[in-house]
Amino acid sequence: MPGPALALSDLSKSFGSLEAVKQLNLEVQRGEMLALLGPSGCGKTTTLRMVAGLERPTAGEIIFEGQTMASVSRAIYVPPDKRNTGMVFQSYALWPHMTVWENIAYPLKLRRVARKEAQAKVEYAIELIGLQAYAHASVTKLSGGQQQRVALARALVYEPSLLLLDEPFSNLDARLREEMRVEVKLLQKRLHMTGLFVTHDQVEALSVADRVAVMNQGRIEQLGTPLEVYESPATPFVRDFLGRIVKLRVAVLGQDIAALEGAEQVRLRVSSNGLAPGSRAEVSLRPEEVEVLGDGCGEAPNAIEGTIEALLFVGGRYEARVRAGEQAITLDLPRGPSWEEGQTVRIRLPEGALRLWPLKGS
Amino acid sequence: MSAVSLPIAAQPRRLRFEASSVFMVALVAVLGFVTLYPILAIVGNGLALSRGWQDAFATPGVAQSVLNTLKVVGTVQLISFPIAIVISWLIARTDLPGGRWLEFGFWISFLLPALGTTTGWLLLFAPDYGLVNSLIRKAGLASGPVFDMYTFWGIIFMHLATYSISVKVMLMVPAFRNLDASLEEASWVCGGGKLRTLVRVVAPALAPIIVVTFLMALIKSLEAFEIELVLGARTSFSVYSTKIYQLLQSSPPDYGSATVLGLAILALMVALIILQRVASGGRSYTTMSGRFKGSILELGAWRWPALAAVVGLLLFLTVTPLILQVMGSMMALFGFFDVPQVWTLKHWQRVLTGLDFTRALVNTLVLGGGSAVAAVAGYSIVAYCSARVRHSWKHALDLLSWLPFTIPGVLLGLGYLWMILQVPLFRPLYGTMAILILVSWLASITMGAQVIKSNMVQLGADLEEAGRVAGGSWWRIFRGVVARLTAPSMAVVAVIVFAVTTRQVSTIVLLSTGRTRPLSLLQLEYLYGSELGPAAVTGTVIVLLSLAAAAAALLISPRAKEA
Repeated sequence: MPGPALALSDLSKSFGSLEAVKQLNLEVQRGEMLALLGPSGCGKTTTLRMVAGLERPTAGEIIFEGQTMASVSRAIYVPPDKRNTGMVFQSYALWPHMTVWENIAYPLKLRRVARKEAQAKVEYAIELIGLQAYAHASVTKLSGGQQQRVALARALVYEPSLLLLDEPFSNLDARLREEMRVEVKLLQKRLHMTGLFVTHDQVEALSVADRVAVMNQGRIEQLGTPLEVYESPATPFVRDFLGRIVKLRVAVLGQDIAALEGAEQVRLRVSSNGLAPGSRAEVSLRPEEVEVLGDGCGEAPNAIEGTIEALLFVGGRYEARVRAGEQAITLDLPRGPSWEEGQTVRIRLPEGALRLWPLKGS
Repeated sequence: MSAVSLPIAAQPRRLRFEASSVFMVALVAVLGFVTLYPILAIVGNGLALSRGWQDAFATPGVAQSVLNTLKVVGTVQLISFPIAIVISWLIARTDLPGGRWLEFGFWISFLLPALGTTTGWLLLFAPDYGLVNSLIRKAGLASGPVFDMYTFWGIIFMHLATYSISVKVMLMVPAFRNLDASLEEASWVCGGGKLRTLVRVVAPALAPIIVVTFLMALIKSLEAFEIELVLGARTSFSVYSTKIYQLLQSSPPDYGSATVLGLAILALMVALIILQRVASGGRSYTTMSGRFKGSILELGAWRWPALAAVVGLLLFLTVTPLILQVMGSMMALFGFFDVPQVWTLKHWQRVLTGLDFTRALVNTLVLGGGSAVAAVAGYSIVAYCSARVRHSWKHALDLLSWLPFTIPGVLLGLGYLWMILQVPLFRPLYGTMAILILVSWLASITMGAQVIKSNMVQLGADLEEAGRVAGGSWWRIFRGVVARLTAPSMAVVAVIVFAVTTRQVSTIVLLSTGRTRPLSLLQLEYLYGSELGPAAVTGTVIVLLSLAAAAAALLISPRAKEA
């Protein structure tokens, strides 16, 4: 079937006067894993719940595999049980009165799958998540990671054409979370499923998804591959939300040249992006793009000198708060040299990595 | 974001109106009708009676009954409240052993029939034949009876010996327990001593709970009926509820005075309800939030004496009257221990073989069983809609399911009597079990719906949503997941409703006829006619029925105990 697997058009949802989702447009390709990423309250979970059929949109349409699942203008609403989607809930929502086996088998029972066939499918699913030893244990006896796997198996066992994941890793500890990310990604690729995945964790979104839709206040701010949204954020919101960022205020002096605010003698070469001389602006880059200059490097373009105000050892590297004139930035410093608070450090902001953003009110 | 609209219809296509909205409107309309009709009937008829208030209050005993009501209620509250506060605090906030069991004991006490306990205590304290009085007389300490149950103080005693303490303990213990201990701990850490913390932090924090409980207990105490009816008979002491009953029993029945009297009590009730709402900030007590994190005060040397006192009180409330009642049911002459043959089974033989009893037993089983079934079905729907549905109608539903709590049984009965009399459509309901089941169902809805609802809220919507996404229809998932997981609380509700319905008197006394008379009313008649042996037999059977229901529920649902 040509076209996208899932298409949301002008999808909106209001709760009373609160507009949770505003005219959202989004297409998810077949076999693609798309992440809805944003802070809490940005409408990502509401969007997911509308796709699942747990919320009714107040405007717009949801079309899945050519079939209209919900359309306000055409008065169509397919209830969740008729949509054939699989969903992993944030809380896992495992039924506590059933065993692992019963939880996974229940969707098949609801679909009246023949006993033999159901048994084979459940067995396969349990094998897939590696919980053979716990098949007949109560789900309440399982650890968080195991429960998460059961929830995943329950969502996959009936081979839904769309997999929905609502913050599936947020209740896991850091190590387990990393493991599960890899597992889910492998599984989704192996089963070639279309997936929609909600998270507020940017690392999770960037690592698991094929494409990321960054949401803010009910709208999509940017849609692109993880690399695209990370390297070329389209809006200040995306820039600040995705990962750490180093920002400095500058004044544009002329074509591709700006002066650091509060230390005007420092000149930075940066593509002026059409900003007129005299306007105030911000330059930004990722912390890992900042180069730390050793002693005796002499003059270098875009070099800044600053004082280390605070030094935090975070394992593997230092995080340092460096003051340059009136402004302070947080940088990574390599572990090698012995840094001290109060020490002067020279850094370079490579022209290619720097992006210039107009400052509001200028 | 946890609530979800109620997707009842399985039709996937073309749904102009959300089925859930239609269902909610229908539910609110039906519940509104059955709840508000009796109230409006009393208000409407009370106001419409042109001869009005003066005439009604000129009727002998009407004004006095209101005064008596206030006197009884005031005295009972004054005595029971301090006791209940101390017990609740001991159970909830100290290291008193077996707190959960003690709390359970007060539930048992609440479920015991007042008529039965009254019968039991008469064995000891009846003026003429009471064992204690006879012993005192024999010992030559006094010539006349020292204790007389058939007096104002006898009535007060019976109130204390039945629900008035236990109902307050039931209300206050959970609230006390929910008080966040970090408040106390913060005060200790800041340097406040234990006593200082108790006075300056704990007491003010608990004050709203105590006020709300006080008002609720006051509302509840206006329910009182059967104790006054039995013990007030000899001295013609009436409270408003017994007066209404007498006015309607006289021939010709005086509907006018009864209704005006009812209206006066409703007006008093409205004032109490407003006070209660203001005091609780518009919330009902059970929605008191707070993580369960109790800090426990160590009683030290007082631990065992305190336990002995509470257990002693519980025995006084439960076991003692039960034993007395059973003894009374087997005495040849109620209260007489010095006749040649003290013990006999003749009352049992007489009662059990009587046609009256068989019919009343069947009626009780139909009434209790029917109410329990209706309760589980109806309260579940109400609780579910209140817990899950996101509709403005939800508030109406909450209010309607709370309102019956405030309507005294006799007034509920009176309202329904008016409905049957005035609306020809409902006339066939007169003298049927259906109307008795309906009022019994209403009488317990506040408690029952609340118990099931809190269980459903606790479950969370996602378990159900997971089922829906997994491919189950709403009804299928309701049965397979929601009902299965709330089964323990449903079983508890069924048992409580059965027990309450089996023992209740005031709600059904005006609506029941000879044909539909249950055991509780049969016992009332025996008591009223001073046939104490048969009354004790009937009372014992009622208690046994309640116990059997509880045992059955425990067997069916092994987890009911935890709920």
